[in-house]
Amino acid sequence: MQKDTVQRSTVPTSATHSSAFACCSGEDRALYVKKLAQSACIELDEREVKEIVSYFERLLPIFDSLQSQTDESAISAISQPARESSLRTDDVFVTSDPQPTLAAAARTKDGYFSTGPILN
Amino acid sequence: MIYKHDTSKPNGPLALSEGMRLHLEIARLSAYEMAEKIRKRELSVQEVVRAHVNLSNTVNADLNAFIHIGAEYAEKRAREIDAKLARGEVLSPLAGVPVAIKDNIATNFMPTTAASAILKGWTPPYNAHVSELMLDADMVVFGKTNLDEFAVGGSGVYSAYGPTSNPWSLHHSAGGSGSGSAAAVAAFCTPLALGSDTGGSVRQPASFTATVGAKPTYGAVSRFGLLAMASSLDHIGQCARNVLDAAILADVLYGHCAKDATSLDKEWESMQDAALAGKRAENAFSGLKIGVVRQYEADMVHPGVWDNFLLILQYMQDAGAQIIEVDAPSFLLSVATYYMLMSCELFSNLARYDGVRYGPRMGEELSAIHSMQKTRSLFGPEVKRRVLLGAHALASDNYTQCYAAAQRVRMLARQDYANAFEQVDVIVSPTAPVSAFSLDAAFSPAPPNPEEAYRADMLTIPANLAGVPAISIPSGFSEGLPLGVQIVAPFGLDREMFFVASMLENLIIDRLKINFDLFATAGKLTTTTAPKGASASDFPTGDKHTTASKDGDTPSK
Repeated sequence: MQKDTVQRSTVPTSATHSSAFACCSGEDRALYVKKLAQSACIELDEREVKEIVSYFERLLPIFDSLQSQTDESAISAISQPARESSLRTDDVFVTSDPQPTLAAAARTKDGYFSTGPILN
Repeated sequence: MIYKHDTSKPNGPLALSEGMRLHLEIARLSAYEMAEKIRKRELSVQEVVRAHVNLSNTVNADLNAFIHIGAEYAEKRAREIDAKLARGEVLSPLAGVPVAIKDNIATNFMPTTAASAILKGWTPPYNAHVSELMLDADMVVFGKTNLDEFAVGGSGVYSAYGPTSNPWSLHHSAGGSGSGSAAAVAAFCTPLALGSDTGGSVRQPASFTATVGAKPTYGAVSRFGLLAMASSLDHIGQCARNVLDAAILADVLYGHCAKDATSLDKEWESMQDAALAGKRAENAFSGLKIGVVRQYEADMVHPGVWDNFLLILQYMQDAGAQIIEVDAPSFLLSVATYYMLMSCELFSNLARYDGVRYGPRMGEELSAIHSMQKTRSLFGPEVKRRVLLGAHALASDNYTQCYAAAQRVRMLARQDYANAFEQVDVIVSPTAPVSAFSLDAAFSPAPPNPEEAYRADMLTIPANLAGVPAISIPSGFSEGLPLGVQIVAPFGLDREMFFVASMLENLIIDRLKINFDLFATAGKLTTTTAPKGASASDFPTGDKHTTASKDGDTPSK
């Protein structure tokens, strides 16, 4: 496994549960959840909105630890456990010797194929 | 509509008719033994498949482990493989062995619903790479197993097809999300099953049902055709009743796949050989360095789980292993990291279920947006919660604080494993902090304490964050319910994992005097008088489906 140099913060910064959700209360939180639902193309009834507000209130504070206990500047982020290979054909470089092909050309000019006009 | 568990249902043992008992004689064989008997023509593939299909159809009424059982398809496949054997063709080591597949893995010969109402009745036009590999190996895929919708959940209750019961206690959860695969293997419906493991969905159900659940190194097994939940965390793994069977199936599944961008371009040596070497090794614990994470403390897990874990450590020490504490402080942040990354990726991956690309188009008279909303209202409650959590985390105001921070902690987890594996060969821990919880406790419109519910995955998540291989094997019981111990090996060293797991399996069985394979005779599967007219050769002629509720919530029974 690749070894990376990382540092941890020794002094956790204060927990900052400072999202738009945390900054508002009551009705505004319900509005915030409705806005999220709209962006996710999900229909919620009032009962579901209430449940999700309660779910967020309980769950979001645990994410504060992610920022407060790590020294961001010294740690690089990773998105995959292993490196991805590329499936894009335009990322695949194949080197080949152009001489045999050029030698077979009917006409060449300055090292390129020379072709007749396509449109008269 | 929210499912309410029927507590009036008798809590096992599962009753089997006399005819079914004969089927059980075959089903109790391991995959290894079954394959050998098929090769030697002591058993026909049709006999083997018939036994498993009949058992599955019988116990599924109690367990709800299968969403689909393809009896006719399986019978046809069995006949074809028997014909190949009759012609003297040399087939793969697992030829003729039945296998079930978690219903979020694509099969073009059976429906694939991911236990979601949004994919009800959908049969993909293609096979997942792993499905194709098992067909090429002449295995008989006969059923699709239940799960939490789109593998989102850790209890098996968030399925549009109803919850799965644990064969050891029908009032308890079989874990999740791979509840059906684990329950089916534990109840002898199949010797092998496939699962997907994003945060422990193969290993935690294995722990709850006294089965083996293995998750490979990230990239070792192709995910092409797995209905993606969180792509950077998803793995396809094996469920079995012993380590050797899991390793033999691994040999079928491991290898490079050009259709999966994350597939490792690596030749894998035989996992079966490694497991067999572990099984036959004498004094192999001597000199083995076993790591125990210093940050995992007794008060983080149930006392019964902790006591069992200490006992297993003692056994290994007595056998000559050196127990070494390793530091992994980032593991304490793994639950928050996982739920952040997973919900963000889930938000993105489930965007395709909109009635245009996938899912039924609903409310066609409405505008495009409202039509999509109608379709997506078929998602169950836990999927909705986590998709919205992802929407919150990916909002520009929160991105740095949430998603980017989680990606950095993921780097720390990888670093902690790298440091630990400089000192030890493998790391062991309990697989789950608790034994199977009651279904009643799991059912709720919303988890009353989501942070508590999600911490149930805390011991399995770190391996997914770092992509290292991990396996859960049965380690004993607490209050009558099974427990598991987890072995984690360095990235790419899956053979070492199977080797140690096989040795430890032998040691546990030897010391605890428990043969988990004899679950069937331990009183859980009992026999009853056969109904008039029933016989061992009874074979269902139609495919069976479990019905999804219309509104996408788990149905009442």
